[in-house]
Amino acid sequence: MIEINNLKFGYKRNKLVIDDISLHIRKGYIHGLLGKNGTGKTTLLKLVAGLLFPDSGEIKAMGFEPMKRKVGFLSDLFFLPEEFDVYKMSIENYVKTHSVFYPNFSEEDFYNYLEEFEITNKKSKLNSLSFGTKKKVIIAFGLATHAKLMILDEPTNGLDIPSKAQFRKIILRAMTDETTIIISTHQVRDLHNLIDSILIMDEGKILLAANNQEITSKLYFGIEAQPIQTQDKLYSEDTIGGNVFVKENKNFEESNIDIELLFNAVFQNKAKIQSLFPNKKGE
Amino acid sequence: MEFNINRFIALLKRELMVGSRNYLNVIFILLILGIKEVSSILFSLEYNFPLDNGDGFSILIGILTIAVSIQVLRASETKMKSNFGNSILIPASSTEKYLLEFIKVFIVIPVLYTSSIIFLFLIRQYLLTNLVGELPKGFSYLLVIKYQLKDYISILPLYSIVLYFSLFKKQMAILSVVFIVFSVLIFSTLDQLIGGVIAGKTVFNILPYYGTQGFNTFLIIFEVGLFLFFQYLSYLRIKEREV
Repeated sequence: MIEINNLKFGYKRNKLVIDDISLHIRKGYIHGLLGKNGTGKTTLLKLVAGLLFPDSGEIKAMGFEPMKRKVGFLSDLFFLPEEFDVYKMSIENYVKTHSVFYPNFSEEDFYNYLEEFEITNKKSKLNSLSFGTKKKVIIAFGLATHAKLMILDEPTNGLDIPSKAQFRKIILRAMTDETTIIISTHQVRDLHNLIDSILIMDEGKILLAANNQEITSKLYFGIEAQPIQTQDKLYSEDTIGGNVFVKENKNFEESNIDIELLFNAVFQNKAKIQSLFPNKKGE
Repeated sequence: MEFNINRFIALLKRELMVGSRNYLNVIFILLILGIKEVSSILFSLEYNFPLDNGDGFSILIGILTIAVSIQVLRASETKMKSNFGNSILIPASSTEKYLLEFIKVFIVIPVLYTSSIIFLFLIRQYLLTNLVGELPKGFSYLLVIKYQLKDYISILPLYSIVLYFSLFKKQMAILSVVFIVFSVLIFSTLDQLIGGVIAGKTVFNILPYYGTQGFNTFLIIFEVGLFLFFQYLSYLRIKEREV
């Protein structure tokens, strides 16, 4: 779906925001792009969407070079920026004026998604809605385009707690084998049970690129009443329920990924993680 | 070059829906700026003074009018970076997006400007006659259109440069206008100098076949070339814009 080779990009000549990244992003997966603030997540997404041009290296998405902005590429891409403004028009008119550009757009799906988000008045003016509601409308529109590549930058920012659950539900419903969704966030809990593959970025580089199966085959996520004492431990912290930890999965035990623990473990053991997951292309 | 007529019509419809308020604002601005033009036409008819807008000041006013109008039409895009990104990612080809800009800048703005001036004359004729008297002899609406067309042709190459430079600044509309005017003035000075060298004396008209300079084939080719060159640069700019 997306092939990135030796990608470099900087807003200023002497400072790289994306520093020699090579990645393979597979189709049919929901990829979570995680990282601290200012590590280059949004920049990477903009490069993949063709909103920025690489300084060097190459990107191929759905067989297109994003920077060429071919109609075939753009009509199969939906990009939700972190911050956005809406036009002064009703939801109905927004759909009428924008859906024509997306050959696979389904009006029925759009209104179903809106219903799921509990937005019933399609005559509402977009600019009069709250930020969270605007976001829901745009997300519903994006999913109804049935674009093959959906890039969502901090989609859950501004959504209330029930809406975050609705968001996860709708995303899973919209997912097909042909769809690839990349969700960038620093609110890792919002992606719980949603993503199939994790990309962690730091200072313009990829620290980890692996799918869930690969991660749980090499790392074990557990909880004990008391902190465990083992050399395999990568990270642990005390919680009300006990001591949660991540350790190397030398015994091939089964566990569920705790994204927040994984994130902290990666940042505390960069070298170890890189030795455990040497193939940063995430294949 | 990808071009699809249905997609282009959809792009035009979107532009009207998204930017309707901007168009109303532009009409308001053009009505205000049109007062100067109305005064000039009335003055020239009243005192039998030749109306030649080829001087530097008139060019500056003309360029300012265009620059402000373009920036106001782009208000929806420039208001937020994300909206600018959205317009880049609208599934239409660069050719279609360029043609949209071309129509906005080279057709819609001049038509709105001429319509605003005609509207002001209508007000002058039907509502203000009792206060300020009849319109001067020799006035006709056809004459107004003729004057506007003449001015339009005279600044067309600079108009082309305005479009190109207006595609650079994404935010800060006022800065953009200053940037555009400054760039255009540099080019217009160079243009006048070249015209002066070729025609043998100072050329105040951008297209020297109207006004005092008479007809000069080389200059016309030069001006048309300048127009096309900046149109091509504008197309490339639209193709390669980044957020």
